[in-house]
Amino acid sequence: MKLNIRFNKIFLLLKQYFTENLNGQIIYWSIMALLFTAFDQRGFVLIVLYLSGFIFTIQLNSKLNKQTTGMQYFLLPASQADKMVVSFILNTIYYFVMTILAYVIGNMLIIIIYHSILKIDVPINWDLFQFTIPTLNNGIMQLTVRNEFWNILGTFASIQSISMLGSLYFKRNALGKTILGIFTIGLLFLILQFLLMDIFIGEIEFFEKIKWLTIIYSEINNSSSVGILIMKLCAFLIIPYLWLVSYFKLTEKQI
Amino acid sequence: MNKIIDISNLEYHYNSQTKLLFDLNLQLESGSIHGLLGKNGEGKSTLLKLISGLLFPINGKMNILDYEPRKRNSKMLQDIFFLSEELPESNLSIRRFENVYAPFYSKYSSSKFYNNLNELGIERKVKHINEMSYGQRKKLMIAFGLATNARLILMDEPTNGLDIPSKRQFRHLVASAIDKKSCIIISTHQVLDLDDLINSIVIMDNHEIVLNETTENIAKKLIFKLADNSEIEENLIYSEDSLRGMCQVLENNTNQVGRVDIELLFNAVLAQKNRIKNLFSE
Repeated sequence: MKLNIRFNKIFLLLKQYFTENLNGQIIYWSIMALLFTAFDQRGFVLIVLYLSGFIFTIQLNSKLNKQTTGMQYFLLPASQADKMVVSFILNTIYYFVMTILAYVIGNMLIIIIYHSILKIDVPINWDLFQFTIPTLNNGIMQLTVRNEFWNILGTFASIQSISMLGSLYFKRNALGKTILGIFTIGLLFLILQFLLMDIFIGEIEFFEKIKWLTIIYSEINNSSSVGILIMKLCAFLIIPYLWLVSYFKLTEKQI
Repeated sequence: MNKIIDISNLEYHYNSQTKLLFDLNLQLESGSIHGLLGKNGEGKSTLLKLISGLLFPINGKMNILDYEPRKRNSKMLQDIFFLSEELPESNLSIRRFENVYAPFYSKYSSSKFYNNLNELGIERKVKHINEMSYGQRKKLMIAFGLATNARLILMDEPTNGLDIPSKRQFRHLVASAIDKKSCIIISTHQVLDLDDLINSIVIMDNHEIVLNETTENIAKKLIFKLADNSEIEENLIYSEDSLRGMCQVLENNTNQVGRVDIELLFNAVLAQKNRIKNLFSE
């Protein structure tokens, strides 16, 4: 397999996207910044990042399933690898950076509004990538702050790679079908875990199983052992795998 | 002359029950404007999509500009411009449009683009392409397509939506755009629009190519004439009534070369497929 990637074509494809969609992008990111001004809680921002990123990718690729826009896309003189790289840049790097930027601008707006209008000084809230874990040490509650940047970026990139494949795989209603696909795979995975628990722990109640799973996943998440880190790294290998499958799907797509 | 399109035993269908193209063979050379004619649903647009790599053949071999079109090679795409019947939307101005799309084509000529626009009567200072009418957008795409200097230009119903003066300008532009290295294929139902423009005719019937000849060769083998109603000649192949009299297609047994009536030829080929096929295979 020979991937023909040229930077000038990537630049031209990006230029084409931003020139064609400039107004829409300015409006979209302004709304996002205002949204984060009103709601700057970490959990909310992360949900917006994951969900809107997912929809953005589906929307971005919806043009491939329409006759005129699809023809225009496939006939643009650039290799399919160039087009795939541009998709990755747009829906993973660009979208992630822009959401962070909208979050920063939203936070700055909060500070400006409080300082200049309400005359109250509020501390800057930059906790998007920080996760606080309360731990009990000799009867004293301690707060450990952990940097979650790579975890968030990895989760976001995983979601984007799934939505990329989904939007290329399904011709109609890609959003609904991809979500349904994720839920189906998730459900099957959950049933498999329940079956494994039945084998290794014995038959226990449903809510007990959920409790066990929560504890196991929390342990995995909080652990910093080499084995767990390798396991996490392996889990993130799904990202390049899904992008590779998406690339092949793109090369097979017909209009 | 180079072979720009070499298709052999091409098979394509949208579903396995109905075959759209079956055992299709087509070779087209550079330096010509080819008219691709056929009834609705014969697969003309599908054939153009297969040539440009938008669709993939089920069976058969396709060699377009020495590339396999399904690979959508970047260099091949630089040398193909496909003007489809449905036009893409764009909210850019003409200048911005050129600025964005022209750099993709290495042989693009900006002066040619603006000359083409002038000839087709399109104002440069349009704010948004979306605000233009369908006909104007078509003219813009024709002007741009010809300015790319692509070796293979595919046009699907290019004269749809063009007014009468524009059709004449279109013919003039296309005729001046062709050179020894390039090839233009025009697929259309409006055969009169191709009059005096094409120098090769490809007719599809029953999902196969039934005629692929130069107009020069057609004129050598066939005579098109308007005859008195009572007049029936020995070498008559096909005739049809018209208000002016009886339009006839006859075997050309003389050395004289006349004018090709594309519409009459098309009807004759559909009615007397085998006879005409045999005549040209001799």
